[in-house]
Amino acid sequence: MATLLSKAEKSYIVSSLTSTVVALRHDGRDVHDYRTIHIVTGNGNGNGGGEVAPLANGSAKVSVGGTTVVAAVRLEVEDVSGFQYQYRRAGGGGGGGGGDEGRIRCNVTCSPAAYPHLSSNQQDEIQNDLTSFVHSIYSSNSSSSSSSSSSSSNSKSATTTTANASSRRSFSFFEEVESDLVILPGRKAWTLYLDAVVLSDAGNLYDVLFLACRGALWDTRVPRTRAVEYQQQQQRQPNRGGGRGQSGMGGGDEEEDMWKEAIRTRVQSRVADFELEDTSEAGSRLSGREKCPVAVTLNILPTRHVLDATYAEEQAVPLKLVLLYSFTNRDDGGGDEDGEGARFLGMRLIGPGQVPLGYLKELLRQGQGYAKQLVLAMDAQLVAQEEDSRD
Amino acid sequence: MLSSVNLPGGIQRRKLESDELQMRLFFEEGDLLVAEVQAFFADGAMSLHTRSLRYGKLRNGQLVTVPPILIRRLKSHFCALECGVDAILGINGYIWVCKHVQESHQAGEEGFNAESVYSNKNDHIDTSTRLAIVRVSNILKIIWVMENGLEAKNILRRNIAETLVEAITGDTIRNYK
Repeated sequence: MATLLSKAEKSYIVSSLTSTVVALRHDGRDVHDYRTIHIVTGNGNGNGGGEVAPLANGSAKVSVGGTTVVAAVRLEVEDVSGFQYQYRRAGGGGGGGGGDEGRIRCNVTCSPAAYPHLSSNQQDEIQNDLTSFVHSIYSSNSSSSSSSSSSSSNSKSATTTTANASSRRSFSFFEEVESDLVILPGRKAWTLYLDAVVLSDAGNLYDVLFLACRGALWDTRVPRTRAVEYQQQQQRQPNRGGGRGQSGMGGGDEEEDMWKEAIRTRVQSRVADFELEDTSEAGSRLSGREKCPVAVTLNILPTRHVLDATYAEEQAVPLKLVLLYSFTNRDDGGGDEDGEGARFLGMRLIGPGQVPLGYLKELLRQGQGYAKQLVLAMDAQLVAQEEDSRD
Repeated sequence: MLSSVNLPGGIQRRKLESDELQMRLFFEEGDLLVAEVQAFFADGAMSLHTRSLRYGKLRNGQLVTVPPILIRRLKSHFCALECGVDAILGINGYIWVCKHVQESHQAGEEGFNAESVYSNKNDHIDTSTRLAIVRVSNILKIIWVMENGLEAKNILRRNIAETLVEAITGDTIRNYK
């Protein structure tokens, strides 16, 4: 894969894409066609068909063209009694919650083989950039949604804008799955660690990255737990000490005890614990998993836009718009109704150049359509894989 | 390091200091060239030789990469295919698929455009030629995939040019839509 293109190559690509007769790409695709998307999810399928990370709670590997990303989910028990998440629940509107910061943690790393032509500093920068982007999308909260800009050493500039409606709660994927992650309310809960590794990049990394994260979360099984409480027995002191015990012990003392019982000033200590009901292979799925965000990248030319650009096309058309959506209704039929089911989560405009506002609105509208198609196709594939493995 | 230069007028002369310093007028980072490798140095550097004006900067096409083992050593690696497309087979696995250069326009003939030797601008390429370039590129990738499926001991070194010609002339090129 060439790392730099010559001017002649770039001009050839652009002139092919902007042709008024028919737009041709390197492999003959239409401008709105994706390359074949290969998704493998895996763990504990039993038939061994497709194992990505068997020791993780959920994992997925997505390959599109030469771009490959592996994502895995790991659940760890954490003590949440110190968190303020209960405050958030009581508070209602998505105020800056301190609790869920620690409840979904995302991390993206790039294999050195993915960008062999870049120095390690540049690779670190890419990693940090992707990590903060994925983290801001998955782990809610409105306090971290202010637009952040980061510039890489290639002098590309990226502006991230996360949708933050003041009139209603901003979307938080964590909230969708929060109830599934509780073990002992107020005390113990699962913290979800979502890790993604970019193995190779042949264009369209954002889409593949979010598809992999979605696949891993789709595949995640939360181990079932059962709360167990032990209550300490009431300590009745038979000997109250020598002095008092002898006289007037009978009725008076019992009365005293009764009163003492009625007024419990001492806090009962309950030893609360939980146990795993079953092994991790047979846990339960996350209930909000179809609402997992999905990304669509549009490479922007003055007259049209291109989906799923290859590495060479990204060099020739560097201005791109990454849109993030979440869909709630899986079986809504027509395109008209999914205004209710679709939620716009955020966008990122990367690269040199500018987009007029009217054009941008049009791109947003079309991007939602593409994202919907992507989600429908992916869900159909994942459901089919699930059913296959069940047989 | 430059040893001699073909000037845009068609003249060839020995280098001057100013040529080396102005190398970027001729070649820049990222440019794609076809050249002969004359020698390898111990530190990994190569010396490249553009023997005639058929060599040099590549324009009017796109690059396809295949594993180098598939490319056979031929007398000439410049293949003119029948659909209006040329394929230049580099033995490093880089194949340049481009619009056909007429014989009368090649170096030494009367139609040769000497100004275009270092040019970055593509000619106008019509849709049917672009389509043919796409089809040839896809066929090359398919040949690569087919080779990949063979076991290591059975890897055949096919003559890519011959296979291409068979594939393309044997296949009727339909009108697009």
